[in-house]
Amino acid sequence: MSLALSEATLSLRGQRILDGITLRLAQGEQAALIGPSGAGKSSLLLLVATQYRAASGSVQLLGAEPWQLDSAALRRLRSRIGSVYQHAPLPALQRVVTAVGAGRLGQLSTLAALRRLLWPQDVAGIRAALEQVQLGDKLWQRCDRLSGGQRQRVGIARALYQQPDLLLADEPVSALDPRLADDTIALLCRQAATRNSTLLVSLHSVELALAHFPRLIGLRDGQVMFDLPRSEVTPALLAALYAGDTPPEPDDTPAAKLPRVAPC
Amino acid sequence: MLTAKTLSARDPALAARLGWIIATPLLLLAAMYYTGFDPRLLLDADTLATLAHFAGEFFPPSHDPVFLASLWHETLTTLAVASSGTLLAMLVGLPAALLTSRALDRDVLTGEAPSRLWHWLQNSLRALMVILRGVPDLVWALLLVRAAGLGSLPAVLALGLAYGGMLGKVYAEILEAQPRAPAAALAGSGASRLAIFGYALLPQAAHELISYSVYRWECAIRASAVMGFVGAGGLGLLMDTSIRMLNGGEVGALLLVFMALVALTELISRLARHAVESRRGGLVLAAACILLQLAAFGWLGPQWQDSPFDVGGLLRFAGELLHPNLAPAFLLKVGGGMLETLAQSALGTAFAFLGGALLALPASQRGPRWLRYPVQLLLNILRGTPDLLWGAIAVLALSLGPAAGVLALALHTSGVLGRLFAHTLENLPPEPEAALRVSGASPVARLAYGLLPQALPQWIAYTLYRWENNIRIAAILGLVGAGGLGQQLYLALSLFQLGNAATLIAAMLLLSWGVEGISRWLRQRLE
Amino acid sequence: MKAKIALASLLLAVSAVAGAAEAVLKVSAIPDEAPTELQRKFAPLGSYLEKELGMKVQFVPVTDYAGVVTALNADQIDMAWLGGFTFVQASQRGKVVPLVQRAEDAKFTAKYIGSVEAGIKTLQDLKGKRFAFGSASSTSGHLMPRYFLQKQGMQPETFFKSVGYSGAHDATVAWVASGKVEGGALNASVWDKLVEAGKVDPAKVRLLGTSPTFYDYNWTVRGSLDKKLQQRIQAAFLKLDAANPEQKAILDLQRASKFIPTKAENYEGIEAAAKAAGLLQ
Repeated sequence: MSLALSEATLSLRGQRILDGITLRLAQGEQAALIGPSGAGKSSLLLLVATQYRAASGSVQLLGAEPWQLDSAALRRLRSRIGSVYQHAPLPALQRVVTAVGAGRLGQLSTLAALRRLLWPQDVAGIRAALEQVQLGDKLWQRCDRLSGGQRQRVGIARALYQQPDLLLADEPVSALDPRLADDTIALLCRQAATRNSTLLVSLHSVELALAHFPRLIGLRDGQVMFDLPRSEVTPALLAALYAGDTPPEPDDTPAAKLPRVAPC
Repeated sequence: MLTAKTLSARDPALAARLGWIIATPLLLLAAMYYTGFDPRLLLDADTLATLAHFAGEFFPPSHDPVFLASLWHETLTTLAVASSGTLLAMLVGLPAALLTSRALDRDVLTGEAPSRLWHWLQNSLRALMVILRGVPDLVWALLLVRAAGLGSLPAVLALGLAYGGMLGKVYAEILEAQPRAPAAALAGSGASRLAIFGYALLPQAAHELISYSVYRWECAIRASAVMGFVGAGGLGLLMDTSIRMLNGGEVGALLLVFMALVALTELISRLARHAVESRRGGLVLAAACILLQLAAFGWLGPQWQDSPFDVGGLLRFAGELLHPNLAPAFLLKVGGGMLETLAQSALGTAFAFLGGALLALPASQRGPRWLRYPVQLLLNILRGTPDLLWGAIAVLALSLGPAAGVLALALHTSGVLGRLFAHTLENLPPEPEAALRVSGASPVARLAYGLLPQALPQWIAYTLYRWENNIRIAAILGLVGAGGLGQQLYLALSLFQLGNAATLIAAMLLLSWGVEGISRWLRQRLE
Repeated sequence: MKAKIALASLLLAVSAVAGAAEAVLKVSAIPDEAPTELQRKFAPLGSYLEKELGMKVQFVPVTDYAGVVTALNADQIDMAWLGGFTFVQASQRGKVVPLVQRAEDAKFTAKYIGSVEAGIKTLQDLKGKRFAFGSASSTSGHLMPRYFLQKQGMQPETFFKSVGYSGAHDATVAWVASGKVEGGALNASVWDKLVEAGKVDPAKVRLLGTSPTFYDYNWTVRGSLDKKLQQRIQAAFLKLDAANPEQKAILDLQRASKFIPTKAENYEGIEAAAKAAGLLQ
């Protein structure tokens, strides 16, 4: 079993975010996570990414209990889990080649990591990952020179370059136009299938989820409302899932700002 | 196709990076050689013993009643000088900004044909302000003391001139950064410059103008505390004597007072900048300012009556300054001094960058608590001790000469930068580092790939700003025997060789502009 | 409101220039020793002058040699205790009148000292070492020692490793004692006083030699001071008599046997030396 959650709960700042989540994904399985904003999709993905630790219940990833491991083993486990974020966490002044290359930091010794910083290594591999998201020409570009959509795709390239066994993606195409979004989700599914990686993607667009994923998980108020094969997801079920939802305003992370005033 | 691919496989920034990686250490090594600053000296047993011995004499701080009485007197004078000086600077800076800000120009706002004469006048005024702020405030004080006699009035005037030039520029820039539409609308209906400012720009920019002025006041306190080194009253007067006489106990007491003063003004400054945000707070702040100015004036007025200001002497002095010494032999000597000052400032700032970066991590909220507070205390001591005092102490440890100046700059600036760097770290978005953590990156790799790429550009920008400041300080460190142009200037003014002094001041201006230019260019490359 | 205060301050400053009061005699001295020491030395002399002149005498402490010159030239003070060099500077920059000098000032000397720890026994030992003068404007702490060193072929800037200015004679001794510099030069009278008071540690500081004699200190008034008052001040100084125990205390503090009249011509040698040493244009 690639991913197994059992009665997992998560609280942040005293607030219950996830409540009794039970979820299993077999190795190589692909599923979409849907639900209204605030349902807990991002938190669930961060819980699986070992960013958060469950308050109760159990979390098993790639056959291991992450919080029982020593730090070296935890690092090894984490290096096998890739994440794509809605806002790609790329330092503004870092170059694309470094940002994508950072995907494999978990597999490198600290010394090798530092050497790469001065002297980019495996440029061909990094370029290949970028070419999959049609950004091969941005290899030497600085991240703050990219558009929001390009940044998002660089984030995807980084996760692909990591070659994880479990790939998590949180709204990975929110900043892309519909055609590119469709292509990109297809790419994620194709890549995961080629490597037999497990894929869990949260999507705001139900159409995309229905078009690409055999299994849909509906999340509402921190609980799993349904977990069904694509054919069994009815319009009525979707209407109930999204009842009263107001989509959030789109936002973009601001570029880094340099100080303007000299200190005395 | 193949060639294109191999070509682009090469890092296009490689040459530039290699250039920086090789050039920076080479330049710093050259500066080290030129200033005779050997970092190993810092770990030398003799140096450390001298420092420890002198620092040991700080305790117990002097509590001689006569000394304490003059300490109290000079503390009040320092506060009063800073306050009156800031007021004067505002009175110089605000009109200058109103006259020179592009945000009020009719041709910018309405597209009318620009007036040639007016632009010429504006540019002359701008040039004047560049000179006002290019000459270090301490040098202004030294000149005024020589020209018109001792006391706190030269200190107030020096602050008024140097900070006036600075405020004029910053005020103008703040006005230019405001949305243009309201001003353009008023200008279109034929309103005057003053009316456009009062009705369109002031309401938008008031907060920023006030909080920058308050911040300048905070800077003025530090500046006025060392004015006494050139005979312009305040705590520096006592500090100068105590250091010359190597009276550790008095220096200890002075340091305590100075740090308390810095901490107090930072607190007041922070409160004041918060107060601006609320309506009531603004009124309270205004009342407090008026009271402070009245008190300052009440304290300084009688002193000024006692030692009147010699206007005739000032004019004659200014006339003598108009004949700089341009003899080749002297110019060569000044050139050497300039190079020395430049090397000192660059080296001191570079070491401070390293020191600040090392101390910032433990001083920020990332540091473990048991380490955080001691490191923060160390930063406050480094930054709370004025640079001139560090200079005097460094002279004790490393003997007279430019190396002591480098050490003084490095120590003081480490404190300033360390605090700013820690602040930067605390305000960075945490996501890049968190993402690297959950993909299994080691702590050092997280720092190198997630944290530093975000922090470094800001750190470097702060460091470059600080370098602009340090070139001015390096130019005056010679007052305490720490090399650079300052000692030559002090000698020239002591010996009434005003032609030499004029050349030296011009050299300081050149240096300060040059470094500002380099710093601006480097900062633009960062963006 | 702020503008009003500024205007008021400006007016006050201007009016202060116009109406410098005559009722008080403002006296200052070049700070060749620690300020506290200067005040201690002046106190009995001040009250003596108050009694003799029938007017208030106020001591204005000044921390800077050139500041005293400026203040005297700017009529901010009425009378000052000047060194030979500062007197020459003041007379070059304005009208000043020298009144009296100590009998000892006619053949004044400077002392060269060295660090015992650094093994300095003669002036030649100081080659390539650090050296301190007092204030740059000092006669016996800078000008004359520099002049005599140069005459002996020792150009300070090249002969020594570095040249510093301690600011005052007693500070020079403190610098040598602390090892901050290996050698220094100072006023002979201050040296004698420090030795007598046991303030020089012979294990740390050694006397290397004494300079030839020269004219030094005097009491000088600003040229615009009332002529009659000038004469009364001079008379008061000349009247001081070592036979009178009270007045002997005053003389002792001034380290004078008696005061004698002086004239500007006495300092022509200083002026020539200053020009030769490149300290005066």
